[in-house]
Amino acid sequence: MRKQRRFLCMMLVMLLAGLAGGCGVRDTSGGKLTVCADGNGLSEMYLGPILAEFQRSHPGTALEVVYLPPVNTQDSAMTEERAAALARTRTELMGGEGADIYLFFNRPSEDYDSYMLFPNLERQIMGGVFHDLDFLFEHSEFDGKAYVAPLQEAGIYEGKPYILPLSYTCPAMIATADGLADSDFDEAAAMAGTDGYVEELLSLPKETRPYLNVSLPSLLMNAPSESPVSVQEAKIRLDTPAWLDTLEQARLVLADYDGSEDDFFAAVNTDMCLQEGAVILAGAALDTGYSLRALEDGGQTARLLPIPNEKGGLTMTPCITAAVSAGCKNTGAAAELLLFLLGDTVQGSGVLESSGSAANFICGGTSWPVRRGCAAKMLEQLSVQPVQPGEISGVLKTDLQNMEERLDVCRLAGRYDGRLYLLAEPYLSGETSWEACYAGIEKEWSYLDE
Amino acid sequence: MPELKRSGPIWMNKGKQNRQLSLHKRRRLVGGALFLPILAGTVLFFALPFCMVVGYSFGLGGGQARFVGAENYIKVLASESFRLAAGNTVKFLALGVPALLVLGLLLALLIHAALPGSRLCGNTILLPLVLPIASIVMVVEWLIPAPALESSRAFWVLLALYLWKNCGYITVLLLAGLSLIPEELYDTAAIEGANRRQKLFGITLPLLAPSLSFSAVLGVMNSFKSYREAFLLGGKYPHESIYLLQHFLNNNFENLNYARLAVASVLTALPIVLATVCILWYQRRRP
Repeated sequence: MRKQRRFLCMMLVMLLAGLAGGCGVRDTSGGKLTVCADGNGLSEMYLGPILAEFQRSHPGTALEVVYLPPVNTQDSAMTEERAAALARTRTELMGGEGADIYLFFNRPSEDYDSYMLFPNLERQIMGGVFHDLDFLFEHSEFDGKAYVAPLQEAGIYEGKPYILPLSYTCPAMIATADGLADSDFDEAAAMAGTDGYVEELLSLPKETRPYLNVSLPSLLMNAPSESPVSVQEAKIRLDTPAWLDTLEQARLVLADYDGSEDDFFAAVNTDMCLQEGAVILAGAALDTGYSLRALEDGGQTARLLPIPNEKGGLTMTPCITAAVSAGCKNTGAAAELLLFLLGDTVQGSGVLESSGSAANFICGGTSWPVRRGCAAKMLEQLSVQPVQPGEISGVLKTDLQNMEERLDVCRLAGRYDGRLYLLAEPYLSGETSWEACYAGIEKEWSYLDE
Repeated sequence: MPELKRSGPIWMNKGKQNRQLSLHKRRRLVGGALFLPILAGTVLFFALPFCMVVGYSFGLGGGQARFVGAENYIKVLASESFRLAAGNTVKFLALGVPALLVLGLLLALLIHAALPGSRLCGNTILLPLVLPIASIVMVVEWLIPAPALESSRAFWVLLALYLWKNCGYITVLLLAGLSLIPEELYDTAAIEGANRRQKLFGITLPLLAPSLSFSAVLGVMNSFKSYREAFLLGGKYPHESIYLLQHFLNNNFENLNYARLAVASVLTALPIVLATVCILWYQRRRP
C-alpha cells in the first residue's frame, strides 16, 4: 500500500513538472532579434547587406541571422544538410524556440514532400506556431495605404493576419505594346474576367502568340481568388463556379493547341519569338521582371497583361514572406525590422548606405514588391546579371501601377496549388470527364481535416 | 521484512536479526542502485516527456504557451480523419492481435509436439523478423498489383504482413511457456481419461495464460510498428483502409501542429495503458 502511494506521488510530481515545463515561455528581452532566412533563394549575398543596413540604422537591436542551406543547385533536390536544418528549424518553432522572424518563400510545389520551409503554410498558421501581426498593422509607423490592398489579408485565421508578404506574384502575359495596339485585342473585355481574357487571347492569330497554349493553362490556375482547397474548412473548392469556369477556360486553351509548340527553348527565347512576329510572349511570362526589362532594353515597349480573377480584380500570391514566431517576445524590434523591409529603400531596390549596393532583395525581378510605386523602381534598379539598371517606358509603368491598384485578393500557395494542374490534366486535355477527374482529385486530396 | 528463524538464546538471535536486517538493507540498496539508471532513463526520456505532452495537449502556439482547455480535444475528436485513423487502428488490433495469438499458439503446439518438419519450422520461424522491411514491401508490391494496394484490400495485405512478421517470436514465447508446463499434469489427465481438447482447455491454456498475456501486450505494441509497412505501401496519405493513427500523428508533426499531435498521442496512449494495466491486474488476481 505504502509502495503504491509512493509510486502515485512520484507520478503526480512528474505530471506537474511536465505540465509546468510544457508551458514554454521564452525570454528574448534585451533588444535581441533572431531571423531565420531560407537560404534557398534568400541567400546571404542579397539579404545580408539589407539586414546589415537595418543593423546600422537600429543600433539598439542586436540582430542574429541564420541562413538555412539551399537545395542542390543542379537538380533542386533536397540535400541532407537542408533536410536536417529544416527538421531542426520546424521542431524549434513548434517548441516555441528558434528564431523570432522567419523569411521564406511561399510557392506552389508539385512535390508533396516539398523542400520548402513551410510547404503547407495554412496548416502551420492553424497550428498556432506564428504570432498574429496586429502589433505590426497597428504600429504608428505603418501606413496601410502605402501598400497593395490585400497586404493585410494574407494568412487570415480566426480574424487575425499571420503572414506578411514582402513580395508577390500575379499571373500575367507579356506583350509588345506596338503589336498589341495593331491587333484586335480588346483590353477592356480581357480585363473584365478570366473568360474574356482567354477569349481575347485565343482570337489573336496563332503566330502572334507562340507557346500560349502550353503555358497559359497552368498560369490560369493561379488566377482564381480562392485556393483550390480550403484548409480551414477542410473542403475542396473545385466545384465552385469560379473554379469550374477557370478549368473550362484552361480546357479551351488546350483544345486550341495544334501540337506545334513543343520547343520550349524556342518559346522562351524572346528574341526568336519577336523575329517571328510574336505579340504575346507567353514563354517570357515565366520570368516576368527579367523579360520585361529584356524587352525594354532591346528597344521594344513592353506591356504587362495580368490575368484577372473571376471578379475582374487580380489575385496576388505572396512570394517572399515573413512570419513571426508565436514565441517571439520582442515584437517591438520585430515590427521595426518588418517596417524596414516594407520601406521604400528595400521595396524599391534603392541604394543601401552601408554597402552602396542596390537592395536586390525582392527576388531580383521574379516577383513584385508589395509597396505601391516600387514595382517600377525595382525594375529600373534591377542589377542582377545580365540585366543592369535602366529606365523603363511610361507605358510599362502605367501597367505596373494598374496592376497594383487592381489587386483585390491575396491567396496563399500551398501543397495543393502546384499539383492541381497535373491532377486536372486528364480533364483539361479531354481524356476524361470532369466527374471522373474530380473523383480522382478527391481521392488524392483526402484527410483534409487532419 | 524477511522472516527470521529463532534458534539459541535471545541475545544471539538479536545479533543474527540485526545482521540479516542489514544484509536485507544492503541488498535493497544494491538493487536500487542497479535499477536507478534504468529508472532515470525511463523517467527522463519517457515518463517526463509524456507528462509534457499531456500539458501540451491543453495549449496552443509555439511551446503551447496559450492554455485553451479542452478545445484541442474537441477539435481532434470531431475530426473525421482522426476517427477514421482510430477506427482503422482499433480494427487492426481487434483482428490482428487475436489472430497473432491463435497462429502463434498453433505453431507452438505443433513444434512442441515434435511433428515432422517442426524442427525446420522452429529454425526458420524468426526469419521474417530479421528481414529488412523495405525489401519485404518491395516483394509485396511486386507480387500484388497496385490497384489492390489502393483499395480496401490494402488492409488485409497489411494484416497479413503483420501476422507473418510477428508470428515467429510470439511462437517462441509461447513455446517457452509450453515447455514450463509439467508433463506429469498431462500424464495424470490422460490417466483420468481426458481427451486432447480437455487437456488443451483444462491444462495448457490456463497454465499458458501468463505467456499469452505477455504476448498480447507485445502484439499490441508491435501492431503500431505496422505503420512502417503502411507508409511504404501507401505513403503519407494512403488508402483510407490503412490510414492509421500514426499517419495522423506523423502528418500533424510535419504540419507543425503540435497541439493536435499531443492530443492524438494522449488519446492513443490512454487505452493502451489501461488495457495493459487490466491485463496485468488480471494476471495478478488469478490464483
